[in-house]
Amino acid sequence: MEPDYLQQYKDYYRVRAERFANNTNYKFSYEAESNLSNAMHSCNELIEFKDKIGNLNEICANALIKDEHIMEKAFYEKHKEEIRVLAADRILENLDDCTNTEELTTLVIEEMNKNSLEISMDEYQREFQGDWGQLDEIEIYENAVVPGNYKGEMQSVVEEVQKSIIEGNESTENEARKFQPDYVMKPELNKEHRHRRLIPYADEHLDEQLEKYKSLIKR
Amino acid sequence: MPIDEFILGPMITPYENMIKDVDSRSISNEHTEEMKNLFKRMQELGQEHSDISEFTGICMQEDLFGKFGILYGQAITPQPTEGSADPADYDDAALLKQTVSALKQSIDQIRQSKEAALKEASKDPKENLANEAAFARRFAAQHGIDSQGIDIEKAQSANIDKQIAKNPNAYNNSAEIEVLDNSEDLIKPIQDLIDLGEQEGMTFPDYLRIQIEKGLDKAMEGSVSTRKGLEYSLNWAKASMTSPFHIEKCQKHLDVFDKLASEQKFGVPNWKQLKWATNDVDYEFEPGMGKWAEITSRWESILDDIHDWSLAYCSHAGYVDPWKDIAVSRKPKAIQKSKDILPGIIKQKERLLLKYFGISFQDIFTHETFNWAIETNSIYHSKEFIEFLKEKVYQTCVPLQHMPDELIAERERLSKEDREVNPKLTEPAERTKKFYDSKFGEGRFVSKFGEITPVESNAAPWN
Repeated sequence: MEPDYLQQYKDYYRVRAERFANNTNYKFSYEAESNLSNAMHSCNELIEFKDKIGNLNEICANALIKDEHIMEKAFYEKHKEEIRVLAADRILENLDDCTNTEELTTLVIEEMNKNSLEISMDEYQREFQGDWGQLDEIEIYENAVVPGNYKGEMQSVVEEVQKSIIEGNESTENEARKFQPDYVMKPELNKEHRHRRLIPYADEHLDEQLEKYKSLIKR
Repeated sequence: MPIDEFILGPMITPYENMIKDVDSRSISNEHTEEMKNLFKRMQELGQEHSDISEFTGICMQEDLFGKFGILYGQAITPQPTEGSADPADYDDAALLKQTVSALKQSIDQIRQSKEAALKEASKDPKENLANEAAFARRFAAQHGIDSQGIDIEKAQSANIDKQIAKNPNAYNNSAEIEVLDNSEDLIKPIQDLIDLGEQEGMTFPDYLRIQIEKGLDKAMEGSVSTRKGLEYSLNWAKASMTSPFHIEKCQKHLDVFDKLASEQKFGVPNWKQLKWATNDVDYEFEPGMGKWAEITSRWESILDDIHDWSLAYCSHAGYVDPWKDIAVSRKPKAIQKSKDILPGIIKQKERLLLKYFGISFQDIFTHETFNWAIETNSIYHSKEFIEFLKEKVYQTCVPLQHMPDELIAERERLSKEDREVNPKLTEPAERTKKFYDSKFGEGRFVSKFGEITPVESNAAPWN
């Protein structure tokens, strides 16, 4: 006996929609999948689905991407990741314009690649965090009480460390400019939460180090 | 000057392989044509630039890698046929067969990947060396660098032989690949789907429905191997005991996995929800881990300096670190310098530890990071030596002053009687070895990394 394909597809689309039932993270998918399932269930013959499906499948794909990027956006907003959230922001802003999965895939991949570059550029600014120890070294050698005959050597160490910081910044800036020609180091950005959370020092100490750093690298 | 093939190759070969892949599948369309144009552009840039990061920068600005990936996806994606076919053309058996055969192909690919990984893991280290040396010779010739008759390949080759004689598996990672390989965990749920598809009388819509109902589609996402990976990380964290945060973080990853799994009908967590939940855990622990490492490194540096300062006064100072490798003619001056400047430097480091974290010198010894170092035996010095530094040496470590004679005698005695070092200093390495062998096979640690050098210390243990 020939299988009842119509009933089998009705069962399949029903189960497909039920996957997202009662999951608040997937409410758009649930709605889109339910619409697709309803379209199938309204068919009396399989051939009717050819017209009734319309773009419901594409809407399901968009809904899934929407749900997933809403989760992503919520995560990055919660952690004040102002740069990492940009991919989700732009995808959510533009995905309703996608009319097929090819456009949707292109949108997602392009935005992810773009964002990956934005993140790299932003995290180059953490050079300051890596240089914190060197700023301390300058402070240590400038203030250490030592016999007078070592003063010159102590000052040489200070100058060497200063030079190392300046050259390190120039090198990082030049490296970043290969990817973004107008790139400029902005150590002040380390006060923003996404960088700040990784700095285990009090605000007053951060301000103090930033002042010293900015005057040293002239940025 | 173009970028050397040795450097450029690994960067652009994956894209060349994607072109070979579409060609081998006889796929030819507008997307594959554009892929070839982009690859040509990458090759041109490789010829025009001599710096690999400059090359990468331009590729990124032109989004060559991103565009290529999209085109490849578009080129190999078959057009959807499911559900919308005219019943007259509807071929249920063909749809099912097509899906099952794609799954079979994916199993083949997983097995091939494992074979490739095993081959790489047991590759002759001299093969890599020959390629690296050939590149070094080309680089030297291009930049007019005189190798001064030194044959790096020959010297390194002898080192490899020496190391393999000592640690036979130093360059072989096949046992590790075998154990960490997750291919069977990935294959099992795929095979379950194939078996379902090949059941007598199975139709395509039933196949699609049943895999959802039984959770087979979710299992195929690799949840079994993910959980095993999380367990592995937790056990590593427990063996290395870097900080309590590291262990707690890994434990919480596992807890999050189990919680999300328990909320699902088939015990398989939703992939995206798992990703954000474990990332949440990372964000929670990252600041604490950083602070812990910073505090530890600061007090270690202070104790090391006090150690060096007191050592500088000993008669054997010139024969040990940090002065033993200094030329004999400059050695007395270097040792004198340590005696003269270290108290001033130590005071500044102390001041910064207090300023940043509110931890005074005496507070170090009751701080949780210090207690952890004792508990895990990751502290280098013995208890009696630390007490000597803390109670006696530190009191005399004052800028512009020197260590009193009676302390010098005691300091020398501690060195000569081998009581400076923590007698259980090898415990962290032993923990790692135990874990490593339990995971990769008895004796594997030594065969790769060599025997753990025992500590020569007559001091009493910390605990």
